[in-house]
Amino acid sequence: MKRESVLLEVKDLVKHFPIRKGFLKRVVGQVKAVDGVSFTIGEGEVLGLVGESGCGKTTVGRCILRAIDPTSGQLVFYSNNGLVDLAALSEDQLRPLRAEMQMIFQDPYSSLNPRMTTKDIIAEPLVCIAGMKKKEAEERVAELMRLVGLRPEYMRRYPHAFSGGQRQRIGIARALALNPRLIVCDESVSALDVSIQAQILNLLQDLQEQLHLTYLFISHDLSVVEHISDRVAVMYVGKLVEVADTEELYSQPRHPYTERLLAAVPVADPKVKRGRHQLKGEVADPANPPPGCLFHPRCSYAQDICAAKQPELQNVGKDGKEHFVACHFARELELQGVQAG
Amino acid sequence: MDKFWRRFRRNKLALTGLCILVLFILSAIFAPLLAPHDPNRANLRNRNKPPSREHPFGTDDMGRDILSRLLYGGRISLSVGLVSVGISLTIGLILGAIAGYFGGAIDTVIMRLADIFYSFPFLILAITISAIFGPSIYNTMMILGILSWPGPARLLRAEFLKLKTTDFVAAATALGANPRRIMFRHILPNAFSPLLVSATLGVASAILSEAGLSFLGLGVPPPAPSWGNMLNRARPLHILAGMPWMWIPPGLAVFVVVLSINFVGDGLRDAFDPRQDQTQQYE
Repeated sequence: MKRESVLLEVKDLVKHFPIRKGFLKRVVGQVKAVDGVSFTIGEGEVLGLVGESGCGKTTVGRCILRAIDPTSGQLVFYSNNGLVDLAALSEDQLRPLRAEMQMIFQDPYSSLNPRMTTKDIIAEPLVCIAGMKKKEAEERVAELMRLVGLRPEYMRRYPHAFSGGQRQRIGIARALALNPRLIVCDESVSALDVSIQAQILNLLQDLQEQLHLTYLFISHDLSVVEHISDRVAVMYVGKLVEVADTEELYSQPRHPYTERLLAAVPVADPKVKRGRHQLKGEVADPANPPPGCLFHPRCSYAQDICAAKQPELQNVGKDGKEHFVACHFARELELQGVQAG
Repeated sequence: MDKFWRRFRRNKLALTGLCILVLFILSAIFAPLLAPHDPNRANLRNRNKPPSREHPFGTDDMGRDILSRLLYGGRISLSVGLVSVGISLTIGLILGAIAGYFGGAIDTVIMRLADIFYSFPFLILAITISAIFGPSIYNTMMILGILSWPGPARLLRAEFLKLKTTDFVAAATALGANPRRIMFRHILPNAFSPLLVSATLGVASAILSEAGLSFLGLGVPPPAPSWGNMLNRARPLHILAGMPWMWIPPGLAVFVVVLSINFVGDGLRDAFDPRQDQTQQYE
């Protein structure tokens, strides 16, 4: 477990999307996509961020890179030039910092501009941020392509000439172009075939060790997250419900939601019986969340207090370990995990 | 550029269209050298003559040589078509891109402006403008250009709205590209093909609109020839029925030019799309 120094500190991040209706586009409500999320990522650490579809994982990732602007909250980034709050910067102030944080996207088909050559795509950050001339960039592009396992001879081809896995490698090369420190991987392998997933995952892991990168690894695939992450954060309807070291979270979950998620991971054994722990009901509507604990309508351990009071994220770790859970009964419940793989 | 030309060349129809178009443009430019007669010199003893050695396409109801008028008319019809589309495309492109990219209040203002332009009765506005400024070829170009920008603007706005939400635009933002670069390098190339098709159709309809305006005496003032006013001169029934040499040449010229432009537009659209050289990429 590498946890040397903090690289990014997310404090009370909030992103609400207004719902507009009618002729005058009046705001009639808010979709609370991200509602008060706080966590830290250490330098060189891989933090997994998991949750169901629509729980706000991607919004968190995009807010951190300011691809969308957060409603409120602080994003304290320990950049090479000192401390900055990413949430407070203007687009122009942000541009030089973009060299230090990059993103790898989910869909390798839609994340590459079909009208640009591979060379131009990978050179984009070099030209935009570092201000390189095209000729200078070419050498760096070749180097990057070799780094991610692509043949530099192909740099004049357009994205359509590559397979999904190769396209994702192009996306990775683009993200690495300026030697970033933080990379947000937004479902970076979920659009790929299982066999390719493993390749890309291994590539990401190798690069992380080689270049001492820090990942925020966003995924709904728990087995992928377990494979790559040092620590895992679980999100539910815009809030964090549990944050702990990967091994501990998988073997001893403390939040009922995490337990259910783990139980839903497919097991490659037809003899294994299931059904007892399946998640029932629908995900709460982030525009109209239930009172109290957001998970209580679906929780089989729920009691009266759960519907009345929203639990705070608290540290329940033993022996000095950090294990944050937002559940009134975190200390009492005996929950079932899965065997660490 | 090299690849672009190679992709374009592969489309034989577009290549043919381009050749024909170039031929027409050259013949319009060199009309003074090619025309056997003065296009405006009437010869009343020589009216309504069918094609002959002296007048290969015959003469019209004022005894003017149709071939000469056709060549000179090409100058006006082609330049009206190209310039007015140039104007409408430039305005439409800028306003459509701004509306689609920035959205919000700017978008509303621009699109309501487009609605206003759309809702003006074209002819009444055209009559008013040429009543104020007088009929001339330049006024015709301006009228056609300024009145037809909402089409391309709406088209481009729709493309921008669609492309703005794609991942590669989000990627470009996260990679630090500024709005200008995103608009022109990332979105516009992907929005080009529908725009190109609409532009080629626009040239065709501008040539036809010029004909309509000329008919009303608002376009190119006679005696200067244009394909439009040549066609309109041939409208009487006895000419349509008995003297096809008066309307077949200009009609055919409009038809062939419009068709060629459409083929070229198709070819350009395909040539702009790098996916088209799949076969060549996998050498």
